[in-house]
Amino acid sequence: MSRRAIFVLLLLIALLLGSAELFARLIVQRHSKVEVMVTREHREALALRPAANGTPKQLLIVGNSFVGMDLDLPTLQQRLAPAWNVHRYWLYNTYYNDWYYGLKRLLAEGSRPDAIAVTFATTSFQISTIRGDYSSYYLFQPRDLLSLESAADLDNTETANLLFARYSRFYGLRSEIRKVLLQSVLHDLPRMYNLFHPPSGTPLKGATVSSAITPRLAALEQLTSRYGVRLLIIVPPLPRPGQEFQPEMRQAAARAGITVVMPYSSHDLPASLYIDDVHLSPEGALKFSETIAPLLADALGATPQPGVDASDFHRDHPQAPVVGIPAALAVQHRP
Amino acid sequence: MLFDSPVFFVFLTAVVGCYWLLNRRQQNVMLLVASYFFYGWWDWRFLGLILLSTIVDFFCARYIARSTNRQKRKLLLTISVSLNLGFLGFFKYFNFFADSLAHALGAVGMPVNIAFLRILLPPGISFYTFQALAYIVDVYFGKLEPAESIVDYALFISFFPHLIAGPIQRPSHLLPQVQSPRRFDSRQFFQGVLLILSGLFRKCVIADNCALLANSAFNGRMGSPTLPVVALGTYAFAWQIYGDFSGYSDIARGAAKLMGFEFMLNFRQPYLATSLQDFWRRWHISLSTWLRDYLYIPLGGSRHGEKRTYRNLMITMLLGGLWHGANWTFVVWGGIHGLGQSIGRFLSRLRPSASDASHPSWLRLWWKRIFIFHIVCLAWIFFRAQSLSYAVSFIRGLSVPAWRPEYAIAFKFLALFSIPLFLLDLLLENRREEYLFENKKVPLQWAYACGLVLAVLLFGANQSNAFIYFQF
Repeated sequence: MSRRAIFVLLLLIALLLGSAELFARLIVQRHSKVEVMVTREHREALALRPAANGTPKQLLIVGNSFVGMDLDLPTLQQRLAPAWNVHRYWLYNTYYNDWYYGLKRLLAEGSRPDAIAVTFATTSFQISTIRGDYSSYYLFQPRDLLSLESAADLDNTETANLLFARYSRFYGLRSEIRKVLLQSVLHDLPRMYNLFHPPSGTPLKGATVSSAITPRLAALEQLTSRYGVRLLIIVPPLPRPGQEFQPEMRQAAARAGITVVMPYSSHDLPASLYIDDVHLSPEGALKFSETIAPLLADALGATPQPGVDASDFHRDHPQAPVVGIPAALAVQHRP
Repeated sequence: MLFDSPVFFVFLTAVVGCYWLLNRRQQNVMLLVASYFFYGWWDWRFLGLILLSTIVDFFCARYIARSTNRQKRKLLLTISVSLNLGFLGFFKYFNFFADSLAHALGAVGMPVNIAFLRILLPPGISFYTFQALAYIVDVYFGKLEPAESIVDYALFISFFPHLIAGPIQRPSHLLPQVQSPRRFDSRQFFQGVLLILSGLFRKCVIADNCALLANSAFNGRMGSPTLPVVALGTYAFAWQIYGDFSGYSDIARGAAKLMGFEFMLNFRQPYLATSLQDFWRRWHISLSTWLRDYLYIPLGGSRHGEKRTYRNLMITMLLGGLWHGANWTFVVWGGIHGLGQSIGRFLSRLRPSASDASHPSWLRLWWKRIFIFHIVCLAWIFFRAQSLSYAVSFIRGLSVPAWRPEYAIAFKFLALFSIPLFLLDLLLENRREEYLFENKKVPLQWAYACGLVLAVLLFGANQSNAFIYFQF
């Protein structure tokens, strides 16, 4: 065995790693519907600037799958026009820490919407977990990783992985690539996830939620006000009584001086308007959006517009993605 | 720093890159610093513990070797052994024994309130304690010369590839390697890279994918246990723990080879064993041989009649079980293996001709393999379950037949990620290789390496599963 054999072996490994990175950047990022959407939304969010006199103001809605599934963007856009343009930027499975640091990066990199609406269930503000490597590429700045390590209770290896994922597109995307490949081998794999129930933890107590979310809302408010950006919170309904913590959210938002839009509780919408045990169906999203549009308009100081058929929006914006994701993914991806 | 994380490979590349530029003494100092950095990466506070244990053991061993006074030698041995077992007992077992004592007193009508301590378990403490114990005992019995240099001894204890989860290195095997110069050997280096890739495949592709099913079944996320849930969870865990631990061992052995060290083999196709004795000659070999040499044989081994032999087997396996963790589930796991080995021994003595057959028929061979695999799987349920009562209720699920079409997909998923390892083991068993194509031409090994890299990149699960044995 010669040294040449080792050199060729290491070279082959390096070539494969390089090819994986190129594959992620050139193929996956350009051809995956989800990646195309996230990249475009990220780019658009980054390009937002405060409105000049007489031009529409910019509202950026960020959050997790509730943004994608519980909000009907065309409806909101129609109802808030012409005073406001509505943009969104969302990632599956993301939580408070993802978006606190995500907004920090977005604002630090120059994004200046007039208002930001963070859309989460109350419990998404309470838990400390993050999505992980995937969100690192889009949301985190390397200089924030040490602070994130303690905020999300990560260990050094997990933090180092985030740093790696911040620069390697393949590393951040690898679990998504694996899912697609596995599905091509086992076509009915998404159905397997029907077997898995959400982990049954100890039921949360109101006091726990309140003590966790109060400083977090205050931190979000502090962050956005530093850049002169107005902050709103949109809380979608959940079909699970006892999981909404509405009084706690109202109290925490009031303390932080944030407007919270939370029109429904669990029993206000029929089960038929939910697509699974978390998200609204397209009809539910339409109803929810129609309900919150005047509330948002009121909070933002816009005159609400009467209802317009959302298909007009799609006609005017043919590139705009249709809200909703395949049922298979909806099951895999909790908010 | 998990072995399957990018940061470990950055660290390993830097260490190996510098290593071959230095002379032996510098290499050892550099490796020691790197190993402490590696250990401190988890939690720097535990460095004090390993340092204290290292210093005490080093000096105790030196004075034991120098002294001719039997009493003094015994005292030094007692100090060293007590310190090591004391650390292990306190950090790993304090709450367990306190809880068990409280339960026992409560059961006889003497309820007590015991304050539990919030104790963090230092990573790898069970592994490096066993290495330190082997060293001091070997020196005491004159089987080993004590290390002259504290750097050499400290490196023997804390060399990062084996520090957290073994393989538990025998002082007579590793210490001489630490003390002598290492030469760069292309073949050894090449093998090291292949072993690391093979380990990553076992961990990231096999274990982490099987973990999805095993964790869901054992955490109750598949609902209450039924026959398919128990089967899925148990088989998945069997392949998870095998892929996980053998993968870790391969990476450890491969990393050591990159620096010119040879670690002892830790796994040899354990699920092809034809008896439980055979299983323990193939599974976690570094632990089973340690237990044999430092516990079973000192207890008398098989030298004092059958009854004592069974007793010694049970004691060894029960303590071996407890070594894995502070929970009665591990004790029962060890008990099943001890009992199984005793029964196997008893039966083989009843029918020696049957067990001595060196070439059993194909059917008989596979019957034995399947039977032993299922005994091992039964024991894994106790190993994996959170508590004894959960393990029992999980096993009761075997009597609940229920079927959903999704189970079929889950079984397909399990087959997809367990059959490759099974086939790999069959090939390795037949070819007597450590990794596939080990003895074939280099281009074939290059192709195999590329296949492993691709499999890890494309099918490696991203679950942030720490290696199971890291918690022991």
